Amino acid sequence: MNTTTAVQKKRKPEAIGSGYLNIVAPLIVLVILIAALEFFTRAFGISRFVLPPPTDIIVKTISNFPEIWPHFLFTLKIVAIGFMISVPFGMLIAALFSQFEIMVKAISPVIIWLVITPMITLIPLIMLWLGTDPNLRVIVVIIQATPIITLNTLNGFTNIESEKLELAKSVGASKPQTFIKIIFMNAMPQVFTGIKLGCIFSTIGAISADFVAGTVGLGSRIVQYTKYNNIELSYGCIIIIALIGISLFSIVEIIEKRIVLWKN
Amino acid sequence: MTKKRIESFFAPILMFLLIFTGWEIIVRTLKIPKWLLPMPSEIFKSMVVNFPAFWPHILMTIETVLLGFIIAVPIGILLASLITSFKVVNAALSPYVTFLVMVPLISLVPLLMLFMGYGMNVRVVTVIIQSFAVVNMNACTGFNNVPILRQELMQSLGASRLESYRRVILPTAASDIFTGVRLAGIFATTGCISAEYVGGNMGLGSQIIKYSQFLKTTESFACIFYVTIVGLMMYWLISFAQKKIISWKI
Amino acid sequence: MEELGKKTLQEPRIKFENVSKIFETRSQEIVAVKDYSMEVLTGEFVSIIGPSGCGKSTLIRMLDGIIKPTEGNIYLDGNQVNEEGKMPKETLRKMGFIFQQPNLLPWYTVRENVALPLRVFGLSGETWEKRVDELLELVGLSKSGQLFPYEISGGMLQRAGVVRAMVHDPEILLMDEPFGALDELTREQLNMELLEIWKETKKTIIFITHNVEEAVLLSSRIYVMGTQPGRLVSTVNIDLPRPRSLKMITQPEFIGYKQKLTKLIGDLDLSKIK
Repeated sequence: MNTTTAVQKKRKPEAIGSGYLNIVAPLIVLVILIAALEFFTRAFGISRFVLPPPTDIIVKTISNFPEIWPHFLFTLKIVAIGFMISVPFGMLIAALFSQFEIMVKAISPVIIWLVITPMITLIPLIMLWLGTDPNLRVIVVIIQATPIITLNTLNGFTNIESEKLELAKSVGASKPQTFIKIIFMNAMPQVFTGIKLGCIFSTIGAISADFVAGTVGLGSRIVQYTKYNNIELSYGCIIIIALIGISLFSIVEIIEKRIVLWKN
Repeated sequence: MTKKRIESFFAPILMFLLIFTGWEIIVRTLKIPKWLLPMPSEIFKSMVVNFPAFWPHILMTIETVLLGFIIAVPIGILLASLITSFKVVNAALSPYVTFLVMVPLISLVPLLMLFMGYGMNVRVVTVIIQSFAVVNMNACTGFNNVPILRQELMQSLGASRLESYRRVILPTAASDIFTGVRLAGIFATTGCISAEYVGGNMGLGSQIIKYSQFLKTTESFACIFYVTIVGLMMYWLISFAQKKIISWKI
Repeated sequence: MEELGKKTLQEPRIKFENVSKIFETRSQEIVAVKDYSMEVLTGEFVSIIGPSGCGKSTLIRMLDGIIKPTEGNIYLDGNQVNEEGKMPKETLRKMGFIFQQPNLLPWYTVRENVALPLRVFGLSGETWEKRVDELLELVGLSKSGQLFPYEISGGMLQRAGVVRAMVHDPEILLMDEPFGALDELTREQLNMELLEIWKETKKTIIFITHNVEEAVLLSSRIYVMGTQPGRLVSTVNIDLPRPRSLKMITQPEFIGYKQKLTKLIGDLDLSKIK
């Protein structure tokens, strides 16, 4: 029987995890995408009103950057301040209401109601009430982002295994101790989900507010540039907005990795 | 009914009553002018009285949201299926899948209007681009997190990718997909209202702007409440679908 | 070690020839299995025993086409199975895999779960459907067929997992610590049921476990594996009479085997410490 002599094939060891693929592959995609867009827009003479070549977008955006800069700063300020107020505010509301079971029941539908109402509907009214000072757009960001943060945090606070609470009781933890060391830590992953959603709701809120009113902010720039056929600059502003959203998200993700060490 | 069920039924109703009565009382006692902040009773009255005027806009908003949403959800799921089916594509695109959600795609609206005009199409497209990304992201998460034992089961049976997809991958990812779909419902309404803000004179968003320009705050609020009703409708629709589709427990 | 002299005349059903499996992480190579050889005859019940992380589960996964060996060859009925590409369905149909956990799909009823291999292998017809019901009956699940997995107990779930692996009538059963997650009583009971099934159907079984008593009770031969790298250290033939029963575990012969194996595995642990 032992005469069977098949060819001994040696394979490459099987890779566990994706290694450098996760970093290299996305970069390659980016380069290919830009090169392809450049090629197609030029080779097929695609109208610059539809899609200008990427290099034109980059060159024009850079040369007009002094003009865009104050608007960038303004939008960044609105998003950042609004977001930084929404996060603790949203969590605080959740923390307060989670103390009483009856309040959780009473408030949950109200929060869902707030989440599903696009708060940008209030922009014209806020201008009516508080005037047209562009800085008031922070309020839009706050009311757009807070409910989703509260909703997720509240879910995190209320979904806790009874064993964990029993553990707290068995070691004689006080109510604040139980909340901070057990309930809050346990809710961390969901809190961060809420904060990440808060990122996107903040930027959406800021940009829509720019759309409705105003001469400042990147959203208003897009409207203006498009009106005056500066399509390259419109795209430039969109890319800058995208970078703001992605940076905000990346910062949150870095903080999450530092805090929620036990996730995976 | 047990005490708990009574509580969870009446507590929210009481809460809403409390909010609206408080609002009503404050406006009445402080004699706040109607154009600044109308009373809830007046808003509700306007919702009924002006219904014929609102109706075409309500219908337009519902149509836009639903149409965009119905197109966005399959696009998101399909795209996620394709991306996660190939290891290299998955690695190459996964950061973009997240980025796409984090970018307010509604910033494209003015540009879209440049070459699509102010019609309904452009609003539907806005709804689609703003809501498909979140479905896509959550579906990718679901497809990438199929327990290894389930994958091995299908491998041991020599199942094709399509068979595994139908019997194991899709059902496993179903609850993650619904998380995405639920968020897409919210993004769809928000996206639709933003598009209606920017251009055109149809849809509840455009009406909110119009009424507030003429200081008709009551009508403005009535429209906002109708937007909420559209959002609620989406919410119930999605919850209903989830209950129908995910009939099993883990 | 004992030689398998009397059995060399028969063609081995399954043969591992110098099989190695190496995994690669970003920083290092992990040798899961090194230079493993083994022969199993038709109708034999063999166990592979060893501490956790010795690569014993990797072995049967390589046989069932779930993972590919890095080096060496695996034969089934004299045909090499670890060729490039996916293993053909005809080969896979000869084997049934029983997982450590029940691994039932929550969206299918118990019956649908058990019938899953039939659907995937494309086996239809009344005979096959009848077979599903017979198997459910065999493990006392005929009344639970229409229930969903979350509605039945852990022992029941694992029984369903066992008969699912048998529904397409494979000649070989590969069992990856199938009862490891269950309590002692259920486990003993299922072991006896398994012996009953084996006796009646004369299937070839490769059984992975880390429980010495279980291995001695069930097997004709036990392969003992060591860790780092996962390798074969010893082969022990169990010449206890059949049919076997739980009563045997107090007999001196049984205890002798048990001590021998425990010592083999114990020595392994010591050599690792050094």
